[in-house]
Amino acid sequence: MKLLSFFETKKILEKYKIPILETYFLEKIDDFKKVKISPPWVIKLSGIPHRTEKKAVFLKVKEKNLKEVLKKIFSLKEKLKSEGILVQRYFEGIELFLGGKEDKIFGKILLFGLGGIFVEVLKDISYGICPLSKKEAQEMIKNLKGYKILKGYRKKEGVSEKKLQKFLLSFSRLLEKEKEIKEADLNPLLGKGKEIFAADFKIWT
Amino acid sequence: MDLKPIFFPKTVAVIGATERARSVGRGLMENLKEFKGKVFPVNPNHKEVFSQKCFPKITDIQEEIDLAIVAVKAHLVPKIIKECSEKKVKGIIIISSGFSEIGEEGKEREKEIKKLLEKNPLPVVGPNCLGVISPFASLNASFAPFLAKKGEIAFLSQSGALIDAVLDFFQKENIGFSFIVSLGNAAFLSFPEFISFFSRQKFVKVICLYIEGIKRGKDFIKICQKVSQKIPIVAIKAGKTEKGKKTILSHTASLSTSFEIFKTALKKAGVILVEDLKELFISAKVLSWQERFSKKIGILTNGGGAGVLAVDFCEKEKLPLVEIPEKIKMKIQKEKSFPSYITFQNPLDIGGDALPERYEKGGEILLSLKDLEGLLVILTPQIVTDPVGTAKVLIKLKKRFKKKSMVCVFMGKESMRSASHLLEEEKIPVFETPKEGVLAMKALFLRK
Repeated sequence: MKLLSFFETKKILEKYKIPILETYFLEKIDDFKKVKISPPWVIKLSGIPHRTEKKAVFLKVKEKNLKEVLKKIFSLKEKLKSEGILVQRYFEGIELFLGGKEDKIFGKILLFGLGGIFVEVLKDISYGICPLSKKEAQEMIKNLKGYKILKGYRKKEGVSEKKLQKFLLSFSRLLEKEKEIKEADLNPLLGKGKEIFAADFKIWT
Repeated sequence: MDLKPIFFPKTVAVIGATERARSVGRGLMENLKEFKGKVFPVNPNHKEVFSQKCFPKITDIQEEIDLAIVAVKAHLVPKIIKECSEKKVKGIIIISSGFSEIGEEGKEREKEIKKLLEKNPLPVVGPNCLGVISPFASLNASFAPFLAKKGEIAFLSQSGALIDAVLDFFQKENIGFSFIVSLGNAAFLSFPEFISFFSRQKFVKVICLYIEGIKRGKDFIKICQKVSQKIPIVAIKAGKTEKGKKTILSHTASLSTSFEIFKTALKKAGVILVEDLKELFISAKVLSWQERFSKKIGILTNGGGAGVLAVDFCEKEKLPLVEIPEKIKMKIQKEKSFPSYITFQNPLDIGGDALPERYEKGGEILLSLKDLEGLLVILTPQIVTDPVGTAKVLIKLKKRFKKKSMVCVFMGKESMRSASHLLEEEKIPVFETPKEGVLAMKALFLRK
């Protein structure tokens, strides 16, 4: 399987109207001048697996530590031979994931759920088979054990089910139409009210 | 491809026919005794089989042959298929094993046969299967030790031995089949082709599947989505666990996929997935006798505990229970046709002293509710209980409310036997426990 570049991935996601968090791609430190997002930022390496373990993600970067972070990450870029650096808006929302892959029996399938312990410990995953119907998208959301969390709990704002449903349907269309895609990963997907963005996105062909 | 010659042939050739004790060839010949059409034994080693002329080759037979059943050693099968093709048979069942289930050598053999059939495609069942049973054609083209009764169930199985068990079970339960197919390796015809054929046969009311693995998942979903809208499809899946999966790979040569994905696929296809064989039997029985519905369920009982158990199971299976409207409750209270200690709610507990009359009245009230489409009647054997009398009033009620479905739970063995028999003669299924009754309701319930 081949991992697509940042720009190739972005192009496909945009084609299917899948919203991604505003992202700038830097090849050199100087490129930061182009960034038109106000701090705090998320600064990370592009196209490298297990970034957290490799300390290649910096969250909530502010003006005062920007220089230091940029220096660190660009030296990592050289070391790990990454295609570039991504700068994103820092967005706080409920953490979700949405994945797609090719099943040898049923074709393209979707996996969806809440991030963190929900998927890692509780294995709370909803499955879907392409092409997804509206009703199936709805059930994928409702059948999660963490559904109540998704709807908002205590003081934390939930995620709009309608928007989420639309998101799942767009992703299903993408998987179904782009035959050469073997696997796709939107993780994390951040949601707050009607705003849902893919913060990290990878596509393999 | 037309599957009719497989299930309704006029002439059948048995290739590998023999009288040798405990052989498949003999089993086939014996099972075909009931068949009304003509049977032609084929085997170059015999002049006669069961005092019938035996032909060296299928091409030596003068008459046209609709169905050829092949039970010879695997390495001979490709040659036989070639001869069948020359003879222009209309369908083939390959009983022989020694194909993809044994590995590379067998896979090659399957490929060879596929190649042979490329020019003039034929419907082929198997290989590595038990055969086919078509009760409406009095055809037992299998080596199953039991004959099936005529009925409404079409059963497709990836395990041959399971068919034997199912047949034995249903025989006792007085339930019949319209078709039984052992798929074996399903190298040619598989689930989609048979399901599509069954859906076009008027005497099929329910299609049951025993699945180990599916190869063409997309086709399967597409066909089932279409068929399940008019005929219920019930499936049991083996190999849910990793260990189970490993066993399957050496059993029939099918691919298996994660059970979670499988479950999702069956749901998408509109197929009812059951947990175990018992539930498959319950579902098949109720679906072949009663109508599916999508409205609500009422429970009528003479035992409080049994009613509560049924409610618990309904909740677990997310089955909607009907509410008795206040207006109707008041009306009944005014009429004073029930003792004052009876509370009108669902489940409707008509008391341990309920005689058939009270069952009739209670059943009438529930069945008259517009929202109710399924009635679960529970009878526990108490000192005054009259099972046969109760069965009779229930039969009467079912006839009055033709469009509503009825399932009975008569709790007991000996004391309930005659009553159960009466009900089942009228195709009202009777089960022994509230859980079984609710599982039957679950099978009937159409989720929208």
